Amino acid sequence: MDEASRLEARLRTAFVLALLALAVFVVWSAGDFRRAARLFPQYAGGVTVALCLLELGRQFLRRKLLTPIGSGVNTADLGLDPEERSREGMRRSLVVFAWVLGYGGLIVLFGMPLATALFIPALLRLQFDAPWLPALGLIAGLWAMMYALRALLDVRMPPGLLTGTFPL
Amino acid sequence: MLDAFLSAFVILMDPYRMAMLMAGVSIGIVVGILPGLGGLMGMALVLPFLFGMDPYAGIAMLIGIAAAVPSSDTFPSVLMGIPGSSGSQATVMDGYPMAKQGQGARALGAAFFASLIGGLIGAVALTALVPFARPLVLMFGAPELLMLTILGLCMVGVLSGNRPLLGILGACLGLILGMVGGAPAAPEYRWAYGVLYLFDGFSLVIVALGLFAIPEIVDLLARGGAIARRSAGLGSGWMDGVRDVMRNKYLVLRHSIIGVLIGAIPGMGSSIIDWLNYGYVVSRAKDKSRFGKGDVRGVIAPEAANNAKEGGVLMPTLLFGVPGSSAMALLLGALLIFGVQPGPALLRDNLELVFVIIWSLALANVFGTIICLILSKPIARLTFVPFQFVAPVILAIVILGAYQQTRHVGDLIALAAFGLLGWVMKRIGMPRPPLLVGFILAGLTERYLWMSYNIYDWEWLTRPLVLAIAALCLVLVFGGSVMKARMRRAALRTEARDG
Repeated sequence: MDEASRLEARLRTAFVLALLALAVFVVWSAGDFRRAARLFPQYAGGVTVALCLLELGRQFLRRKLLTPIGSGVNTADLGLDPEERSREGMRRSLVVFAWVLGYGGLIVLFGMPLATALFIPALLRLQFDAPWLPALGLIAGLWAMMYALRALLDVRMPPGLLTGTFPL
Repeated sequence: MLDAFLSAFVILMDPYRMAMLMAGVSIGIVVGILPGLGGLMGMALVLPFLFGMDPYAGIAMLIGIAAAVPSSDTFPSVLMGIPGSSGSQATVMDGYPMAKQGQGARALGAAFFASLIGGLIGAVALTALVPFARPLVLMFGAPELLMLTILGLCMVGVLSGNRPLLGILGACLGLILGMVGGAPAAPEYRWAYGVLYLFDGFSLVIVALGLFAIPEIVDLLARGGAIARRSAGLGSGWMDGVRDVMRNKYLVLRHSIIGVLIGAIPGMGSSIIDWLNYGYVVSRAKDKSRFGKGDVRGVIAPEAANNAKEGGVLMPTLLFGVPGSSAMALLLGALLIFGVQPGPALLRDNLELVFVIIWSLALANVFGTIICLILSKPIARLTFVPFQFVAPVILAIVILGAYQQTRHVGDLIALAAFGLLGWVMKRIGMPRPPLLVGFILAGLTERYLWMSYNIYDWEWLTRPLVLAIAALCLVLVFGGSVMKARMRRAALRTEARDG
């Protein structure tokens, strides 16, 4: 098993443990609900607890026998390239995720149009070293799209917490 | 009946009504292309303009929107790996890998042509089944509907590839997340902790966008470059996709019929139909190795079913006045605006209108497909643009689409949270589709379980249709496992032989 597969296996174990904790909480806290609201969570939570234990036991006993992710048949989901699975690939992905969260934070603070005007040049210049012109073109295009969506489809933009305080 | 059928066609050929039908198709294509916005929003948008409009024109416009969305929502699913609407989630599984291999135009061509055939089969089925649909729909009580939801959950095993237990765990997580908010069977808010946003539970659109769109945007940006390798080329275009559909004509027929039948059952949303059909095509295929990596059958089956289901959902809507889907509830509202009472009397008093609806459905599918096919090649070129220039646009559209669900800041927080969950699951090899299936089916399973138990006690387990669907579930679960075990043994034998 290579380093990336080991990392994945450890994270998978952590994920199953977190799911086990969630399922135990669901079963325990559902006890406070009325019968009609309690039955399904308790059954589903109980089954989840049992399956989590089964999976953890399987991982514990057969870790060395498990097929590494990415090999064999997998019809379930979109996979990752080998270099994306590496520690470096994960770090790059985390950095980009932080950018996306930053955009979300800017939207919550300043509203969609202003956040877009701040985010696009920052992302393209700092992360991708792209020239200014495409960044400005993207901002103009997105503003036009937002205006069209607002006018034609009544799509509302997230307003931003500070837009009430400052005339942004 | 034939007179009404022909006279409905003449009524619809009026230039003004045809223009309204085309306007509906255009709106449907736009809202379908934008992830997060769906037919429901498009129909809600035009509803206020129906007052005073010619009833045939207004209905044609609404049907145009409903019919075009299941075709155009394929664009983001195939080209970006982002579900365009709840009915195109499964298309991502094989359509997007095809786009990454430079076969975007082929995937789109196959999807649109399958959608066209599916839509036409839906319209034909609606025409043919109008006299017989009533007993068919009435056969399904709460126990049978419960079994259908369990059948959907059994598909999880198929969707989980060589990791069925991880897939089932994903579905369990989906069930748990689907329980948040108002309980379907009791006046109780579960795990809402007084937060108003959580009273209604999480929105399916946000869960789907978070699980699939955000991780894909993040990973594509982190990888750099374009979605498709330029060396791979665009492929030989949409005609290849059309030929794929012709080669798989029985597959299209089978899944269109499934789409119509399941669509006719009220409450079976487009996402359920989508995943059921994807799971079914995988389970029936002899060679499963290409699914999830760009098998065109994984595009054709859900797309055919998705468009065919529009014919199905119209059955309970028109025959009983029971909306087959949320979009059909708006159609019912429109009928009432025009002073038409849906239900059995509609067939007796207003048969021409029923056939105008059917003709509109058929023509909207044809127009929608032609427009989408024309657009497919230029739009497929987007996959060659460096992704850092596409990502901000996609991200903005995803966020806008998510925000339209309740227009609350909680939508953005939920999108980020499900995005993180999807990113983690993708990283660690936990299949995400089962989570979505579990989430979709949580409310329905609980509601029908409680109704079945209350009405029939445990006797519901002895109903013939329940037993038949239960047998199908067993075949799916154990048949899939047996096939997987065989494949594993065959692979081991090959490895041993190759040394």
